[in-house]
Amino acid sequence: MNNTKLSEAQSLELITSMIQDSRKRLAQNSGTPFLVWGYITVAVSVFEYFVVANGWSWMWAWMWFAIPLLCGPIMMLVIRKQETGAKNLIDRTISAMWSVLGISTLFLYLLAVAYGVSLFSLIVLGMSIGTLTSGIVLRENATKCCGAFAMLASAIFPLMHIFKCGEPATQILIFAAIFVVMMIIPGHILNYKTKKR
Amino acid sequence: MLRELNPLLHSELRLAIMSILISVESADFVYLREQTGATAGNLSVQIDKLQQVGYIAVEKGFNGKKPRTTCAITEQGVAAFTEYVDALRSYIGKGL
Repeated sequence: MNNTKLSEAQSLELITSMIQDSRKRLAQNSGTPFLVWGYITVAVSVFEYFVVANGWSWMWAWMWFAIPLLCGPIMMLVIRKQETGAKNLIDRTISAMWSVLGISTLFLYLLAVAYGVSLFSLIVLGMSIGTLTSGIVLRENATKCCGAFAMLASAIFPLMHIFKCGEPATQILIFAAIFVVMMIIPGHILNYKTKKR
Repeated sequence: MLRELNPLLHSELRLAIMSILISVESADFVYLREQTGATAGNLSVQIDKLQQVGYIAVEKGFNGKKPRTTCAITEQGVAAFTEYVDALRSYIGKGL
């Protein structure tokens, strides 16, 4: 590209292509944070399922903290690797929202482990708000649907408590299954769509 | 009557820089070079021209130990760009 004068039509074409190319580049790999949090949460949940199902020591409950401890540094590496050199409002809004949700969830984890109470419902509700909002901001229907599904699914845990059904181990498996729908599926869809563009 | 096109924006590289900056909050020099495919020297000259007329703001800093030049469009730049696009539309509308 140099300093040549353009015709009016060429100018409009250039403006359109520059804006579109820039948007595509910024949207690349937007599903990766979903995959990092999704896969690690599911892996830890499955491990915790075996802990509870086999009656191992409650000390293993601290393993839940492996989720933020692993995801934090991995996300820092991902962010550094994906840095494009440009910032836009959508990026800033989504990352600020996930940071706030992440901190809130960390407190919920702390409460859950310290007091031995199940806060799966609140954690799923918080994360589903993040997924649904990301889907709305990114205008991605599958992500919106997965977020909305998870939001409704967060009601399963209080219902199980009210009707006194479902062992703690079963609740952990349901929690993991919701995370598959809420984080892993939208993550792959977002990455596939941005690569396809 | 057709409006005159802003000569400062009616150049391929300067228009590309402004188009990128209008769609982001800020972009660094490397990003602009990669997106436009321009040489570093030429890009630097055009960024200076846009900065001198107040269309973009340039901030020089560091990313770790590496120097980093970040550009962002100014309000004056947004107004000039909008006016330029409106003028272009009037040309296209007249069938040119």
